[in-house]
Amino acid sequence: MSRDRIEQLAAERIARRDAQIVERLREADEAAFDALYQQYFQRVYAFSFARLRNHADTDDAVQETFLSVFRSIEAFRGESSLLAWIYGIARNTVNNQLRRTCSQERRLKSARSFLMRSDLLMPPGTPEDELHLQRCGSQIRRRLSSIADWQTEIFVLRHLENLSVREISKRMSRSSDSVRSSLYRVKRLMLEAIDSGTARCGAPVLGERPSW
Amino acid sequence: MTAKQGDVSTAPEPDDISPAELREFLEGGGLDEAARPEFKEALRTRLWELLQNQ
Repeated sequence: MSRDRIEQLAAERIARRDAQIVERLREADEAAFDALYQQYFQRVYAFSFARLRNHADTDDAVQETFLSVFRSIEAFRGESSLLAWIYGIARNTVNNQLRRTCSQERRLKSARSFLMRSDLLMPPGTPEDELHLQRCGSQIRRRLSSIADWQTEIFVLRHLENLSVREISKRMSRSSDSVRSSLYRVKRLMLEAIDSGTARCGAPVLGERPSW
Repeated sequence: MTAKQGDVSTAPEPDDISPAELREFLEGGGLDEAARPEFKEALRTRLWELLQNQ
């Protein structure tokens, strides 16, 4: 038997097997669902992590990939193997995630430049005042170190660029609930940090608490 | 961004994928990075509910 014929038979066998799996998935067969999920989960996860290099973004990409796979399973026509189809969805999802991350990093960089503008900084005081401010600043930075970059960006968009929750949700591709809960978390951490900073430094150098 | 029901915009053209890419995918991209078990289980539950309700 020729090599071409062997490859053709193998391809036909894969196509038949894929068609059976898809048919069973369309009938909501739990065994078929589990078989596909177990067979591909780790592959999609490792593939996504190799490119995104952090678990939070990888979790998002893996979730989005599998949601697309199962939402689109009716549209699978067997023009490629199931393996190639799932891989393609994973690859495109990861590429979209990478593009989103790059765009967020660019916006964050621009927000940081804005915050460092000299006209936004406090006027110089006595050397004691400045030392006090530095100490309080480092206390606050320590408390805020657990905030992720995307949460910082949401805060900047809301309070420096004055965007609405709906606009932020659209721009960041996150639900309104996620945006609101992130804003709440960052505000709570900032207030705790300010309280902690002023308490440890022994004077209300930062003035009154902000009214966010 | 989450695909809508029936949205295959994230699906590739069949000829757009090389055998080397597929081999890398099958082998896990050279990394054996594991997901949190609770994430894997929560996603399984969500997907199974989705499939049942389609």
